[in-house]
Amino acid sequence: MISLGTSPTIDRPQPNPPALSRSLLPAAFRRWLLDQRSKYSLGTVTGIPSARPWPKGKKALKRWRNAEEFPVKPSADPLAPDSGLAPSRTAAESIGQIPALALLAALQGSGRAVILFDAALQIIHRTNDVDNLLGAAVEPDRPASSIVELLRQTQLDSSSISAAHQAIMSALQMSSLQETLPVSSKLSRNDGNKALQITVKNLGSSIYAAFFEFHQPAVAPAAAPLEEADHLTGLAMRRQFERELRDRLLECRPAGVAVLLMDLDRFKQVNDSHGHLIGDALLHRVGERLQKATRQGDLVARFGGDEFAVLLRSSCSHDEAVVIATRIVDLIGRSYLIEGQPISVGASVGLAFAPDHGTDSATLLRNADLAMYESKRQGRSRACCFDSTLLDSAVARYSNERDLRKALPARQFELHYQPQVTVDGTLCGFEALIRWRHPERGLIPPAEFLPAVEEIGLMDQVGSWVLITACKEATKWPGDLVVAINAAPSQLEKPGFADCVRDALKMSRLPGCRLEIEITEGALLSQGTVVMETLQRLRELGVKIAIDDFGTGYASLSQLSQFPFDKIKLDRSLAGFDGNNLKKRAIVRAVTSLGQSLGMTVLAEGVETVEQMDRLKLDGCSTLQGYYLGRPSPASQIEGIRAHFATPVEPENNTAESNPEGNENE
Amino acid sequence: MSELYMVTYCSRNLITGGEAATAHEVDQILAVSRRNNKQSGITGALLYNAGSFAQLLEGPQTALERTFETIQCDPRHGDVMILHAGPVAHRSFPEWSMAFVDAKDGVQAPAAMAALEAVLAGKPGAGDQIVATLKKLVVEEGEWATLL
Repeated sequence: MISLGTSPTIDRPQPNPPALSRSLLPAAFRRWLLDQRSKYSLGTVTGIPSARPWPKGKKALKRWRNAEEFPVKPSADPLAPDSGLAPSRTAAESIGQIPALALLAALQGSGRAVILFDAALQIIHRTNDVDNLLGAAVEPDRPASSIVELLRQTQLDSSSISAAHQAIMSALQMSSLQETLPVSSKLSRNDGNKALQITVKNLGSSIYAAFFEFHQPAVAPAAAPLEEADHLTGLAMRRQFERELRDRLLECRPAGVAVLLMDLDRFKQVNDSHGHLIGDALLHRVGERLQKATRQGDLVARFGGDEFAVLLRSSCSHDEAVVIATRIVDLIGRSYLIEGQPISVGASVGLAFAPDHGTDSATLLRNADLAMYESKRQGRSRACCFDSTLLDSAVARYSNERDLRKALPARQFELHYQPQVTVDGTLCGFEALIRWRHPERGLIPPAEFLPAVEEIGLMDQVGSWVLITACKEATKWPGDLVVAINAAPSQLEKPGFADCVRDALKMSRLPGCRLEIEITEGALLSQGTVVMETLQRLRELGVKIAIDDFGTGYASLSQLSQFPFDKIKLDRSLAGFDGNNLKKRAIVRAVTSLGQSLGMTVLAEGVETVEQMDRLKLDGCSTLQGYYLGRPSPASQIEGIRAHFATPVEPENNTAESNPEGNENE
Repeated sequence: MSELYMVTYCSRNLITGGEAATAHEVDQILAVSRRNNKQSGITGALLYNAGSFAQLLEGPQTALERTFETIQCDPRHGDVMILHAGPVAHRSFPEWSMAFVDAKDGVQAPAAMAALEAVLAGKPGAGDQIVATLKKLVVEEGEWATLL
């Protein structure tokens, strides 16, 4: 709130003026206000009828432009003698007294064309800018007296003149000050392509103001105005893109509006391995290539990070859009040479079309995003169009994720334990395998939910839960039975994993030698040094390390020499097959003999039949795991399993039953 | 003047419309690249056979990257594979704004074709082979030209 009580005069500015900042209110208006103050002999401007406190900053300017907020008492005629404003009722005579003229005076030279006129359309006053702006052919000896006459003297075309006339006449219909809403018409001038906007306001007291403004036509979509451009690429930014999209959707034909979203594959790796400078240079090049891949009139924008968007120009057919999307995938995916280094990234693109995939910008963008996600899901470096099944799967994914977030606090995860048995029939430990007991969907195997756990970033929490639960469970087992748990590559890549294991051992009081961590070959490939350090620390805690699924993905015998693993777990594809596959058997024998010479136990997974067991024994495996020897079972059944193996006779007779849950160690 | 760099790549020809159309396009490519390269201080050689291109470009780093970027975005080829990129002490083709070898001509054709195919098939060491072939062919052609 601004009080004029201590307001300085403009001639004697105070060091820190508390009111009516010079920069905000034109000098003429301030003079008028001060003048009013002296008339009322009041200390503050609030003494003026109906005058409300003047806001600061932009608000002040806004109110200043809104004639209805001009300090004129709306209920009473401000020109009445008792108002103290003017002695006469004639508008033309009293203009020197009314605030409207102060407004006009303030606008003089401001570059705005304003005409004040009365109910008879007679011009009371006009700013000099009217002539400049409207190109009025003013004849100094015979100036236009009415606003209609003035309009005729301008260079406006006839349709603009009649539209302006109409706007003015509508303003005259307004009976009260409450209806002083601007009446605007978009007009065009016959000498150019600028749009003229005329706003007429009823100022009260039968005085009206007409504001004339020319606007540049909408900027060509391909060129973003400088102030809105992305500093890195010079492209438009999200805000402009969305505005442009909304505008196009508002046009009469939303058909043909297509939105394309693109995200770079492997951009993070480029940033991580080559540094941000190269990453930024890459984004710049990507922007250039996107513009090459699109057409004149398409709007290319960067939404931030490595996410880009293209608003395809109107009336783009479905096929055309797909061609452009394909071209983008091709062009962006071609190698870059930056700072002398070859750089490769890919582009995952999603497309959505109006009106089939949405008629508002938010829906279209969301659906293009879902399509882009689908491109990534299908293996990246490709383009996908939205279809409704994507929405269904997104909804399912979302509900799955929502449920997963609740699973841990709701104690819906369980561990099942599958026995590991030596070839002479002695139980030597259990592998702990996670299950999700979903309240509606029942027991869900890990392969169906662990990828989502990884994706929503819960792997660390779930992994810790597995660790501590398995360790606690194992303390109930007698002797030296070992519990084996699986560690995901993402867990091993984090430096804190060894601490987690140490804490779990401490809390459960399980000796380190009774815990075995199973890692996959893939974990050894990525982030080699961190993983190796972690393994080393685990070894120092006495924990055993097994290499899981050996013989699948990257089977490299050289990995076995990198670290002294305790155990090699032969993948089920090498162990659990029927018949006599000589090649596979040769591999099994090679691995078992290698294991023997390196001092590593070799365990065969997926043993389902007695034939398989006998063959694996023959081929040198020392430990076995599989349905033939025992299914994964809840902790409550472990005692029974232990009792079964206590007298090492024939194992559980459970022949030729297939494993419906696929790979247990997912 | 920035450091002298070299890049070698090979790519698949995507020009459609038969031999005559292709020959015409290749002529265009050469004409434009010779003109532009002269201006930006780029030299090099282009090897062509019906299915593929192999090109060696050398020059100041900035100009080289700009030229390479333009070539990369050319729709007349695809599957661009960078065989080598890095600084070099001196130019291999100082005399040539763009030497051209049509692999179907001359005695070296089979060798050039084999080298290209090996690179496109991803055989190890094939990149060096291409560079060597390019150098040999261009030099031979140059010698042949001086005899005329």
